[in-house]
This record gives sequence, C-alpha cells and structure tokens, in this order.
Amino acid sequence: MNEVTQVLNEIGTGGRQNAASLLPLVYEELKRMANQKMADEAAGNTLSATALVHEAYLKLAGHDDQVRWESRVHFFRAAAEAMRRILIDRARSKHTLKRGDGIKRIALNERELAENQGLEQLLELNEALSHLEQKEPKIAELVKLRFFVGMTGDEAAKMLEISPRTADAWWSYAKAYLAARLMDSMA
Amino acid sequence: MNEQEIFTAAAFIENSALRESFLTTVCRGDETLKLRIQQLLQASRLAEHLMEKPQQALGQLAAAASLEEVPSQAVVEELQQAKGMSARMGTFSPGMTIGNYQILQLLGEGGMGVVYAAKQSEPVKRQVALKILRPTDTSRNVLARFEQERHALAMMDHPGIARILDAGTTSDGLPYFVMELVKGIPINQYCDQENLSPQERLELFIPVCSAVQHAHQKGIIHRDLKPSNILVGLYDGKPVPKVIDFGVAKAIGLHLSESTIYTEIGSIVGTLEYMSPEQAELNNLDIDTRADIYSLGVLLYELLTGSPPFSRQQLRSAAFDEMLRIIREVEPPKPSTKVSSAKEIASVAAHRKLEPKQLARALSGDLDWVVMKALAKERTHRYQTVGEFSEDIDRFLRVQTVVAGPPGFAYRAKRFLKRNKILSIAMSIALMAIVAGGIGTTYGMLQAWAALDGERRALNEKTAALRDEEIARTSAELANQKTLEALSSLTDSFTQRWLTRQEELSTEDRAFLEKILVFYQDVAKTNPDTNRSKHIQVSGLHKLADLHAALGNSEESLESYRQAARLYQVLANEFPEFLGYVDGEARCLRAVAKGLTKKGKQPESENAHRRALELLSGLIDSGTTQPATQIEYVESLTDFGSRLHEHGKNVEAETVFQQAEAAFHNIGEEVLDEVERHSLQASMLQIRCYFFRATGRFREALADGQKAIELHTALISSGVDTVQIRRELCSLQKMLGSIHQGRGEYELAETRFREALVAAQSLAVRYPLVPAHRVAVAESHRMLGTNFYYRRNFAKAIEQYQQAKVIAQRIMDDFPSDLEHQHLFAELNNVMGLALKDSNQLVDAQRELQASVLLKKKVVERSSNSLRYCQSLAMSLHNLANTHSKLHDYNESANCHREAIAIRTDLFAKSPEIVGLALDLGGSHCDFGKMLVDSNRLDEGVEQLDLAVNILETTWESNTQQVITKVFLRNSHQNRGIAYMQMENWHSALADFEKALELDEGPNQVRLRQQRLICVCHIDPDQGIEAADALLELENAGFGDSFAAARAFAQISGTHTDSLSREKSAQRAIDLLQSLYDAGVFNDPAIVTSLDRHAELRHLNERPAYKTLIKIIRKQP
Repeated sequence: MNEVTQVLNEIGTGGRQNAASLLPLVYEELKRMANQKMADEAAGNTLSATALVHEAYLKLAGHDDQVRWESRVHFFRAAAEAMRRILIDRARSKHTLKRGDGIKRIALNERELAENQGLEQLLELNEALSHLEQKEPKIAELVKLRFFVGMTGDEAAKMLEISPRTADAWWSYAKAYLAARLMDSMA
Repeated sequence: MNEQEIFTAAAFIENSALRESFLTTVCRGDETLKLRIQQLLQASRLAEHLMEKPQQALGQLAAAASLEEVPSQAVVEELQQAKGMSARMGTFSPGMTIGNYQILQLLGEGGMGVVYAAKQSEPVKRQVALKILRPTDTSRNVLARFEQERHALAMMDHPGIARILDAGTTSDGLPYFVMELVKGIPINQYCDQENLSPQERLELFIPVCSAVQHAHQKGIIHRDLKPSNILVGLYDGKPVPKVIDFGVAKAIGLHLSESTIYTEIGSIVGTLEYMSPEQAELNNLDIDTRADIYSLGVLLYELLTGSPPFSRQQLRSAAFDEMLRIIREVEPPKPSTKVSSAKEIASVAAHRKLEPKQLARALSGDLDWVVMKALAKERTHRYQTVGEFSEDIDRFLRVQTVVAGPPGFAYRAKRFLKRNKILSIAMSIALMAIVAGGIGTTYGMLQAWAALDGERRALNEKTAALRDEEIARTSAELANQKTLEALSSLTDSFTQRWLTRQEELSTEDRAFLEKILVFYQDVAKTNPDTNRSKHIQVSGLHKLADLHAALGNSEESLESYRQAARLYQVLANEFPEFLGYVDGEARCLRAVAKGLTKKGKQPESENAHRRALELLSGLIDSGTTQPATQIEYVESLTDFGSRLHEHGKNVEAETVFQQAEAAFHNIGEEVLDEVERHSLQASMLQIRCYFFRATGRFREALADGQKAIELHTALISSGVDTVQIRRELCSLQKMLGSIHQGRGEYELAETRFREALVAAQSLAVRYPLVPAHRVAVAESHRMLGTNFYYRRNFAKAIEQYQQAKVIAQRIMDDFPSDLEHQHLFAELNNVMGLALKDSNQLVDAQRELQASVLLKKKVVERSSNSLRYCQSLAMSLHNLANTHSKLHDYNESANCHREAIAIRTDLFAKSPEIVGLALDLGGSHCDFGKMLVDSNRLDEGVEQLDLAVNILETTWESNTQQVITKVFLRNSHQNRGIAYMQMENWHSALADFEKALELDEGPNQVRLRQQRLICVCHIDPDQGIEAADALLELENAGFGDSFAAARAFAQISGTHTDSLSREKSAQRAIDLLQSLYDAGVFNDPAIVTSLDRHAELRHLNERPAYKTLIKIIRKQP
C-alpha cells in the first residue's frame, strides 16, 4: 500500500481533511494517472501532466480552501470530474480557435486534420457522457474514473464498491452506449 | 430488466440466433427497446477499443463517418475512359460476328456486361450465350485469370451448372465469355410467377445447392450467386434450375478495392445485396466457399420472404461505405420477422399460396434458424459446406413429420416452463451467488422466491436476522441477478425446444447446452457446509440433472437427480416450512425412477416412484395450494399407473389410476384455469384409455377415450387450437374406432374413423406443407376401407382405398425420397388387392398385389432390409400367392408362397421374440399347405402343414392372449386333416379334426364335426353309427349334418361285419338322402355332381331304392 492510498484510506476512516493538506500527498499519484491519460490523448492536447494535476487541484480546491472530503471515493469522484472539465474546456477553446471564430478554415495537413477531428470527437464524447450521466449516473461515474482518472476496472470497482464483474458489465455497456451516441451524432 | 441489464445478458450470448430469441423474450414486444439493444450491440463491436485507446478509436469513427471524399484526378480519368468503352458495347448488333460466334439477339444487360444469344458453327452447330464484359481496370487480365481456372471449369459436369465453353476478346479488346445457353428466367421470378409455396421453393432450392456443391468440390467458387445467375427452365415439364456464370467473377477479378468503388460502383451495387460480409471488405482476397453459402442464404431469404435481407433501396439510400458496413455488421431480421413487418406481405404471401399469417408461421422456427445460420457474419458460424446447408433444408422438409413430437409433450413442456418459473428463478438466483463471488444472497434468494411464491412465511428468523449491511450488498448485485435470471429462462426455453425436437439437436445446440452444463456443474460442486451453499448446490444439481437428461447422458442425469433428491431432503428437514424442497425432492425421485426403469431396475424404480408419491401426497394433505405440486401429483400418479401396467401389475395400476382421478378432482376450482384443467384431465384420461384397451376392458377404454375427446374438443372451441391437440384427437378417434371394430361394432367404428378423417383433413388444410397430416388423411381413408372390408362391403372398401391411393400418390410425388410414403402407397396396393380378391375381381387383385410387391421390394432394398418393410413385403407376397391360387395358377402361387416363407423364416430367426413374426410364418405354411392340398400335392401339403402346426402350437402355448394364433392353428389342423382324409389315413385325420374341434369356437365347428364323423365311420362302423346318431340329435343339426350322416351310414352299409346292421344302415342312408331331396337340397346342381365324389356313397350303388332315388335326383325319366 503506497502512501497515497494510505492517506486516502485515512480520509475514509478518520476525520475530514482539507484539500490543501491533501495535495502534496496525492500529487504524485495524480500525476501518474494524468501522465497515463495524456499519453492516450496524444495529439490535440497541449496540457502537460503536471499542468493537468495543478489545474485539477485548483478546481478541486476551488476558491474555498475549506472544501472537505468525506471519503476517498468522494475525493476521486471529484478529481475525475475536475479532470474531465479541464480536458473538455481545453478542447473546446482549441477547437473554437481552429475554426477561427466561425470562419471555416481548410485543414492544412493530415496531422492537423486528425487533431481537429480528435478534438471534435472528444467534445462529442463528452456530450454523450453527459447523456449517460443523466440516464445511469453510477455507470457514468465509472466511466469518469476510468477515462479521466485512468483507473483500471478493478480499481474503479473497489472505489464504487461494486464487484469487478459488475464493473466489467457496466464498462462494456457504457462503451456501447457512448459509441452508439457518437455514431448517431455523426450520421 | 433495464437497458443495461438486457444489453449485458445479450452480449454474453455469442450465437446470434439465440441472442435474437433472447431479445424477443425479454423485450416483451417493446420493439423500440429491442432495436435500441441491437444498436448497442452493434456499437459495442466498434467500441471494443474505444476507451482503451480513445484517439485511435475516435480516428476510426471519424474515418467511418467521413465518406464523402472527392476522387482523385487519376480515378476520374479512368472512370471517363471506362464510360467511353462502355458506350461502344451497345454497338454489337444481330448478324455481327465475334470470334466464331454470330450474334443473334440481345438477351440482357447487367452490371458486368451485355449478354447476347449467338450461333456457333464450328466445331459444332449450336446456340450459345455470349457475355461481353464491361471494361474495368482489372479486365485486362481477364483472359489470363480465366486460363488459370479453365482446367477446373472444364471438370465441372453437373446438370445444374451451365458450362463455360470459351473465352476471348473482341476486336475492341473487350473480354467475352461463351456459355451454354440456358433458356429460363431468374429463380425468384420463376417462383413468384408460378406462385410456389415455401415448401416448393425449398425443394427447388435444393438442386441449386447440389450444383454449387459440385462446383465447390471441383475447387470452384462462384463468388457472385444471385437470382439473375440462377435460371429456371422447364425440362420435360419439370422446373430445373441452372447456375450460370461460374468462373466469371473470379476471372474478372471481382473484389472490392478503392478503385472499384469508383469505377465499378454501378456493377457492384446490383451484386451487393448478395455479397458476403467478407467480400464487402476492401481488398479482401481471402474468399472461400463459405462466401457462396452466404449468397445462397440471401437467395433463400429472398425466395421465402420476397426480398433480400437488405433491400436494394435500403442499401442505395446509404453511402457506399455505409452499404458495406451494413453488410458486414448489421444483423438482418429473421425471415419470419421480415414478412410479418413487410408492408407488401399480402402479395408476398399470395405468391406463396398462403395467408399472410400462415406465411409467417411457416417461416418461423427452424426455417428462420436455417436461413440465419447461412447468413452469419462470421463465416465460421455459417454452414461449412453447401451440403450441410441443403441437408438441413432437406431435414426441415422431412422433419415436419415429427414437428408435433410425442403426444401432449409440447403442452407439458409449456406447462413445465410456466409452473416451474418459481423454481427456475430461485435457481438462477442461486447461480448468481456463485457467479457474483458467493456474496451472501440468501436473503435476496429467499425474498425473491417468497415474493413469487406468495409464501412469505418462508422468511424465517434466520433470514430476518441478516444484517443490514449484507442486505445492502445483496441489492448491489440484484442487477446482475436479473441478468442471470434472463439467461436461465433462455436455457429453459432452449431445453424445451430441444426436448420437443430431440433428434434434431444440432451440434451447435449441443455445444451451447454443454457450455451451460459446465456452468451448473461448478455450482453443483460447491462444498455444502452451510445451508446457504446447500441451497445453491441443490438448485445447480437439479438443473444439471435436467440438462444431462436433455443431452441423453442417462447415467449422469440419474446420479445428479439422486444427489439432488438427497440434498433436497436435508434441506427439507432444515426448513420444514419451506415446501419447495419437498416438491423438489419428489420431482427428482420421479426422475430417478424413470432412469432406473431404463436400466431395467424395476423394484428400485418402483420404490423411488412410491417415495415421490408419498412426499407429494404429504404436501397435498398439508394443504399446499401450489398448482405445480398438484399437477405434478396427478401426472406422477398417471405415470406410475402406466409403469405398473407395463410390468403386468394391472390390479394395482388400476388403483393408482383411480387415485390420479381423485387427486385431479381434489384440485380446487381456483387453482387451475379451465385450459390447464382440461389439458391435464385429457392427458390423464388418454393414458388410462390406453391401459384399459390393452387390458381388454374396452367399455372403460371407450368411456375414457370419449371423455378425452370431449375435453380436447372443448379446448379447441375455447381457442386453444394447437396441432398437438388436433393430432391427439385424430389418434384417439382412430384408436376408439379400432376398439369398436375389434368388438364387431362396425358402424360405431366407421363413425370414429370418419371423425379421425375430418380431424386429419382439417390439419392437412391448415398445414399444407406438412406431409404427416396428409399421410394421416390417407391413413384414415385406409382404416375406413378396412372397416368396410370387414363388413364384406368390398365396393365401398375399394372406394375408400382408391381415395387413399390418390392422396398417397401425390405425397409420394412430392416427397420421392421418403421411403415411408412409398411404403404407404404399396400397402394401399396390398389392401386394395385383398378387397378385390375377396370380391372375386381376381385379375385386378393380381395387378394391385403385383404392384404392391414390386414397390415394397424397392423400399426393402433402399431401407437395407428394414424389418418392418420386410414383414410388409412378405404380407403382400402372401396375399398374391392366395390370389394366384384362387386363379388356379398353382405354380405362381407356390413361387410367391416360397418367397414369402423365405422372408418370414429369416425374420423369425433374427427376432424370435416378436410374436407377430411367428404367427406370420405359421400362417404362410398353413396357406401354402392348403394350396398344395387343393392342387392334390398331398405329401408336400402335409409337410407344410406339419411346419405350420409346430410353429403355431409353440406360439399359442407361449401366449394364449393372441386369439388369431388359435385360428391359424385350427385351420392348419383342419387342412392337414383334409389332406389325410384324401390319403385315407383316417386315424391321423381324426386326430387333426379332434384337435381342431378343441380349438374351435366359431362357425367352422359344423364342418369339423361332419369331417370327424366321416373319419370315425371309416375307422369303426359301430362307433360310426353312434357318432352319426349323436350328430343327428344335435339341436342345431342341419342339412350338412344329415348329408354327412348319410355318407357315414352308406359307408357302414358296405363295411359292417353284421349283415343286419349293413341293411339297416343302407336303409337309413337312403332315407336321409330322400329327406334331403324332399327338402329341395338337390335343386342345386353343384350338390348333385358332388354325389359322385364321395366314395362312401358308392356302397349304395347296387341297391334298387338308391338307384331309383338317384334317378329322381338327376331328373332322369
């Protein structure tokens, strides 16, 4: 059990702690997760892992330094949501920039084209995820933990206190659901 | 179940056909939901890697979405060039010559090119089809590719394949093919034009398969099978399909690549509807014979439903990539679904000679599976050879015979499902506990059970004491439980399907069941240390046992039922208030009893069955209101009764049947609805009816059968009109009819047979595709005919047989490969011959019987000497022999007899335990012997009759129930006696007549006592006088007796040692003859001539009184 987990576990059992005291402890862990995330995101996103974590922290802590975490689940859920927002905001602004404020720009090269499409897809995916959230909040939770925090299925299952089998089933369903929505939006 | 749960369960099922049926079940008519799930399933394939590598998957999505790209300049140029060449193709006109061929007329124009009829003059004069291809980028190599395959193509020789004769290029460089000219129209047009029924379409489809199979065996794949490539022409008035264009697709390199998308789009779209998913992949060169199987599947789909799975419109409305995607990924609706939802169903059905509803019904079920299997996206999931495909169709065509299955079974299976829902739900919950990692689900399990069961008291203290935490965790797993519940009900419906159609379980079905079995095996293997795990284990064991039983693993199922029964018992002790365990134990014990009977362990089986009944009656006494238990009790009793009867314990069997009836009447009015009540009672009565009939209690059998008929009829009029019920009705009527016939109540029997005929006819009209129903109609006519035959109303018998023959002839024409149908016809020839023989139309009789023998011989040969057919052939030979004998053609008669005897001797030697075989053989020897005696071949006759007596005596001693044996034995003795009389061996003759008299109870007694008298008077005159007196004093003595006595006295008048006795006897003989004359007996000239034949009367020749009398008798002046 590493330090972070230990601390997070303490959150679960002991009293509440504020975000500021937590950050140093979860920093490395978040960064690892973020790195993983960024590797996947590849092109189209200029955020560095460290920057992402910093931003996440800021979002988590917000303006109120006294935000308290009731449990590690609570913390990670919030973290996932924060990272999602950061990524999406980034994508959104970049996309707008590329489109040149509504004036259609012709793609210059293949790489840029792909990058552009990736951004659009990401935004559409986010859209789809919002729909899923309304329909199946718990399943959407799982997606956020896996997708934006980069947890494995088992980790997310433990976090949500469901069996790994259920987590797998939800994950497959979520993927199908999102894919179906993406296809719809493309058609 | 919500969307996610259904999706998860459906994704678990790999087999697409099963998945489809699962979805239909769980969506319960909610088509939107079903469509949604199907969408999700499709999406999930694409989404496989979505979140693992988002960028890559998103890229794929983007690529899939962006279809409207502009073609490059090079492609555009090529396109234009091709257009230019295409334009030149239309310039060939009649009279022009291409190679050695003179163009006659334009036959058609398709995507790939233009087809002309042409004349070849060298080396042979004939008409051919000339196909000139449109130019494509690949057409340059057409000839080279054709050359590669030319050898293989030349090897093809099949009436269903149009041969490719030649290939070449026109002066413009356009490649062309020369083919056998087929005069016909595309198969789909032909079928619609002729309004062929689905059945007829399938039959036309089979030769197409065999043609394609032939090509596959020569290593040739067609690659472009579609209706326009399968032409149907009439040869000798019969439709013959021919496949054209073999080798063309390969030669022109028909496969999809980037350039073909632009250059050949027009030509490919026409083909797309029939293209296999693997062909719909760009640059896929890995195409094998299974691509043709897919195309054949599409063709069959279209023939049955009126349109291909993805219609041209549907495909055209999509972008090109989308078309390909649809072909590769979208599961088409099943044929039955397609027709049910089609707008033009009325006209589609009308083209198939059916009502719209009938069409959907005809397609649903197995035909759906067959077609969908050929259309599997994964080629490994398709039929692997065309042969397999067509065999399955053939099986479907033939198998309709057994669709109905064993009597009443579908009903029982349906009820099993309905009533055991409680049990199966409990089991699936138990199963869930294992799958979900054994988290404590006792609470949920019991709760679900209790809620469904209505027996909330089952929630005992132990359950109530479960901690809140555990309850919470349980509820988290409930979603998954429901998923498995759905899976379990799928298993059940699958098992049901299997049980009703046992012999047709495909390897795939078996594999599926076995997979599930392993699942339950794991459940059953749990270590039962706690009550919870015991519960889980017993549910698993029970299901496991059912599955083993379904798969025919009798040893394993017996063992599992045993273990389950023991464990149920343990649990029943632990939870006495939980009656479900006792019910489970009783069910398992009954199954154990069944298994033991199969192994011949009768006493053990009986014990198990008794214990099961004890448990059930205990449950009933304790006041359970569970319908399932009450039904089980009635069925278990009925079952036990017929089991007891099978083992000769008829007295106890009857008691048990009474108990069953009492148990049935004890079921409260509110427990069963009317339909269930009627069905249960009808099946109970029907089984008891068989029992009564078998034990010779015809009156009771008739009463039960009648009641069962009324119940079935009531079911039908209340709307439960199933094939099974109609079949039961038909078979009950036939059985009651034969009981009446056996009792000599011919009119009553006739009424029954007419009812049976009506029942069979209504089925045959409703299901014209099912040969079994038509066979039942023919059989009913036959039974009516035999009814008239027994009443010696030969004309009416012949009329019925004639009707039966007309129907049988049609069945035989429609299903020429089914031996049973040929045999039916041959048997009708036989009974017809018999009726003709007995109405003295001997020549016609001989013709019918000869036809019967001839056809039966064919059947015997093709069946590799099946016992039943051999037996039947011998019967026809026997009847033919007797007809020849009646025509005095003794040589032919002897030949037929010998042939029949050879067959019967062989059969008897092989299976001496079958009573009928000994009887047949004895009968043959008897009739042959009689024929020999009639033709004055006395020694040979006696020899045959000796054989007859030996066999029949043994048979009669071993089974005195079979009255007909006695009749045959008596006839043999009598015939031998007659032979001995002619040989003047009076002692032996007397012994035979005495024996015959001992056996006789019927009308022959009169002749026998006369024959005995003649023997006696030859042996001892004094005894002769006594015997003659005794005969004359009989109350029912008639003219025949007087004449026999006269013969006896005449004999004694010549042989008695005492002269006074001689005189007295002579006087009595003459007096008797005088009195016969006075009574007018000698008005019959036949009797007058017979006077000379009786040697006894010659002793009177010198007596004046006799001379005078004879003169008067002969009316001499």
